[in-house]
Amino acid sequence: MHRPSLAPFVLLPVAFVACNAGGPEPSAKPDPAAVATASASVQPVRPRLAGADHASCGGGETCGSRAVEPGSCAEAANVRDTSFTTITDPATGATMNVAGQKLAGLPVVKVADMIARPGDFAGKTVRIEGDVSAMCTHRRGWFAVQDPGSKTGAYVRVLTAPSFLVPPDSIGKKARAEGRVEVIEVDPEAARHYANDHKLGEQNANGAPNRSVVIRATGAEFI
Amino acid sequence: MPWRKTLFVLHRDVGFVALGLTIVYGVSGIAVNHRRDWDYDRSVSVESLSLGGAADLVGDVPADRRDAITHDPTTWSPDEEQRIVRAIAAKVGRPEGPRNAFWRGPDRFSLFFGPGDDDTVDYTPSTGEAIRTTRKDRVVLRQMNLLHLNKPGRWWTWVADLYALSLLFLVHHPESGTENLAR
Repeated sequence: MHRPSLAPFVLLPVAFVACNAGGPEPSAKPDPAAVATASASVQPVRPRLAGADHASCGGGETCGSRAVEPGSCAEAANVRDTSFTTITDPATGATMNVAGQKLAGLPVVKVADMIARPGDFAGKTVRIEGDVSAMCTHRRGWFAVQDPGSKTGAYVRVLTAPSFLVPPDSIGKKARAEGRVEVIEVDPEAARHYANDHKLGEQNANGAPNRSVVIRATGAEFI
Repeated sequence: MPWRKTLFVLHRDVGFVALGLTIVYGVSGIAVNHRRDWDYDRSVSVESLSLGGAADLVGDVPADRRDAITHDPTTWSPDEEQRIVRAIAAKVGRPEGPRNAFWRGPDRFSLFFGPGDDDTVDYTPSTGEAIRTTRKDRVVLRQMNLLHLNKPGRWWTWVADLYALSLLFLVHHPESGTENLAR
């Protein structure tokens, strides 16, 4: 007579716990204790770097043996998920997600100015504020921000990997971020991906390499 | 021999665990393999809507304003924009209004209703058309993908390693494994 197996009773709870332990879910409510915490006391943990993970970049992102574009979804694949912090924004009283290093309070630079005169800002550390119009949803390695009230749709991509990952569901929120301005050449396939899947920069969809102004962020707040 | 029965029971139990995880990795593997063709975590629903021209949405305005509102969205005043937002929200059945609305392009006015981009409306003023996009997590498959892609990290890495080792154990079963081939 066979002894009954305990395997299913072990496997199912393990799988269930694992599925629910993957960091904050998109619809997760802010922790009341965390909300009550003053932003000044928040010191987000810098993510640990992990080994290369070529499982998937999602959304037609470049990955695998390709050269990894700085700040692309593929680069974010090398970043272990980080815990962003949900707190109350002292300026607005709204709930916000804080990721990466604490913002230093630099003067705000407009997206339109950066795009118009990238040479003036390249290599400098700046702060931008605006609306999040797109983000890498699978790898959370970047987000696009545009000037508040802008009707042109002009944006800059803010590269967050490897410093931190964009909190889930940040599209449509307002964001503040600080980081170094860089002018990079976007891989044609990545440009097509941004145009087709994220509706960003349709002018990049011709397959020709395109230079783009980006910010390599050290920290960001999403309100 | 006593160890033989123990090994048999152990093999059976490890087999059950491996069976479950093989299903997870197999199904998710196929899903992720086709990542260029679909969103393996979320299902997307796209609906075309005809909401009408901006001048109609904004309501009661002078005739000269109607023309400007229709042909040049940059002339929309904040009040007119808010009225258009409310009109669009009402037409898509979300009278409580969006949590945010801004221009993602010169002819792409976006309203965000749900969290992230779970429920968005992209209104095109030049045509009066709109695209409503709703996204939902795929039931079960998303959880399988989380495990397969090791999103939990940390201790799940060890579970996955044990799974791999259990597969190696299974191929070395004395009756049906490699030893059997040698007989």
